[in-house]
Amino acid sequence: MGHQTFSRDSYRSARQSYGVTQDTGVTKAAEERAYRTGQLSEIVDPAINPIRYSKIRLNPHQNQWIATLGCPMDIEVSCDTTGSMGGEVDTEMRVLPDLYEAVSKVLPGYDPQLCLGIFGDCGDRFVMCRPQFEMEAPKIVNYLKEMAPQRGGCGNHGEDPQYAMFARAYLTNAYTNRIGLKGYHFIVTDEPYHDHLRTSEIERVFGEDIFKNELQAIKKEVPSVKAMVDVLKQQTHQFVLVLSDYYYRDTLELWRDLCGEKSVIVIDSTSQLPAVISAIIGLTEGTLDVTDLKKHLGEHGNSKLIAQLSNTEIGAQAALRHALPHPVPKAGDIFANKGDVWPIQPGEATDDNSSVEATDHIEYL
Amino acid sequence: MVFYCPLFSVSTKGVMSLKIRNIEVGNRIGEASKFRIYLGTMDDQRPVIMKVAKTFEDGSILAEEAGKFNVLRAFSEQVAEFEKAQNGHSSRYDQLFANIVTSFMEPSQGDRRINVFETPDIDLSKLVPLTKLQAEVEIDVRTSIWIIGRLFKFYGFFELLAESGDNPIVRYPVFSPDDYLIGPKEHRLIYYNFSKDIADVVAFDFVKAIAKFILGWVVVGDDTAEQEYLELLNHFSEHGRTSFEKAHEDLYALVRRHWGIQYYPFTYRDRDTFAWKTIKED
Repeated sequence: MGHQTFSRDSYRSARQSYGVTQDTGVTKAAEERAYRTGQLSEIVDPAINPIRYSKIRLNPHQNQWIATLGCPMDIEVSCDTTGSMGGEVDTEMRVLPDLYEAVSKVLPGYDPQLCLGIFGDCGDRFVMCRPQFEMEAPKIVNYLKEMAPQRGGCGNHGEDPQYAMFARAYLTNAYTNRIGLKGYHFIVTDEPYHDHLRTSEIERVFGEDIFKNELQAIKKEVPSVKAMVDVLKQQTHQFVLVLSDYYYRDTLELWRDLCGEKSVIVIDSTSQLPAVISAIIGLTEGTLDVTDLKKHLGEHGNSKLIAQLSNTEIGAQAALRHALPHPVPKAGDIFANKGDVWPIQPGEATDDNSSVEATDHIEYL
Repeated sequence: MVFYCPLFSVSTKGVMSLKIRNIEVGNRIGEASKFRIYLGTMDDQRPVIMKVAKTFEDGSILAEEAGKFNVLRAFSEQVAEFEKAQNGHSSRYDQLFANIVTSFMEPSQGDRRINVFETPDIDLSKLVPLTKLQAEVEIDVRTSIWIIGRLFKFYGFFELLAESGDNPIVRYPVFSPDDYLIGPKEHRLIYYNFSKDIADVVAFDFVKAIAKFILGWVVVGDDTAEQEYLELLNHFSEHGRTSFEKAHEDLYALVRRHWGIQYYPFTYRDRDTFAWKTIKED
């Protein structure tokens, strides 16, 4: 699966080659195409191959498999693109290098994999876009430009981010969850959610055969939003980032009731996303000292934000990590078979009885 | 319950054998069910208090504590900025609680969490655990007044925090004298242990608890002023107050009436003697 990661050079190069040269109107072509054809681009359409994967990257190595990078860390951000937030993909595109670098800094030894999606309202033509988890600039730039924000929202006291949350809870296969860790899930919005998950909407968003295939286990017994969030929280450290100029007075209260007060953070601007998301991850992983928050946030910090972030579950991922039966896989670990959950542990028999380091040049067999 | 050795008599020099990051670990000065407390000295010679989780799992309580102290610090800075902009004066709420210097999981100690604190603007050697002092000495009325005043001010800070609305709700810490260090000479009372339960109750109950604590410590004389103070303490302990601001107001109305607001030396006597002694600020 290779070993490439994000870099500013590859980001600039990708923007050039995809013709994303302006900071605004990044999605204009995709929006027009979606309007004309009635179809989303297949790389962001949640109905095309609905399961999203976050895998450890392995390359063949002496009849076995070698981890080219560390353990993947799935980070999903789903951003409201209704009304005044209609241009948020432009922001995501602009802050992407900052976001990747900031999360990498607080995830030493991991392979951060980003799924940056968007959502709107069921009253819109398209409810959400959800790409695969990716870690290389060309793929992320490509999927961002393929989004089709609807910029609507219907003014109906909330939007429908619960389908994006549902997707992470029920339509994701993440390596973190297989070994006993959690990934990260962020909703970014300025409105409440609608308190229902409807079978018909799930079929509309994720494909009409979804209950026959990927969601066979739950069939048509669709969970309540609360029950879905419980499942989501078993799999991710889950947060809602609410813009401070939120639209309805009860926005915060509704989100806090649903997700818990520690999971709801008020931010002033989406330009704060790299700093805030990386701070949350760093605190949860135990790689960022809470007393260094002010320094970490820099110009994006203020005492209200510091106070909120200090109130999150510091070290929650560290506790999970500590309970694992083996150390978190790292670059150079050897897996006996592709698809194994754990690498070969010290003392276990291997073909060559050695642990090797990943190199930049791996030859395929 | 936290068990202490006296801070006064403990040296951080001479017996050090362990260095963690940039901190020389000194004597153990206390222990609770989930952590031990040590004195320490940082490379720049700053004395610090270290709380070390007993197990990895126990670290979660210290992680949460670190977050709460960071909230207190951030909010005190916010209040100070606001006050300075309004009237150029700061209430210095930051002097009411310990400053958390760092909080980390230490790989050499099985990833057990360590919280490191310093005390703002006062040398650690001048501080003693409140419970230890209370066990050894009795205090006079005017000494008790600044102690209860500090406690009301500290809890009043939580009222401000709750009223601010957009800060996360840090509920009142359950009142326990274990959680404070006292600097008798400098009139300092410093909260430094936020690892206990928090309480989602009203000021009413805390005012009662604080008054009962002081009633069990102070020696009240027969003169009118002191008897009136005793009545007020009894009233606090039976009826509480709707807010700490109100309790503080009632307390200082009495102080202004009888003694005026002025420095008064820490006045105490050993529990088995009659002779009063004082510790004066230089």
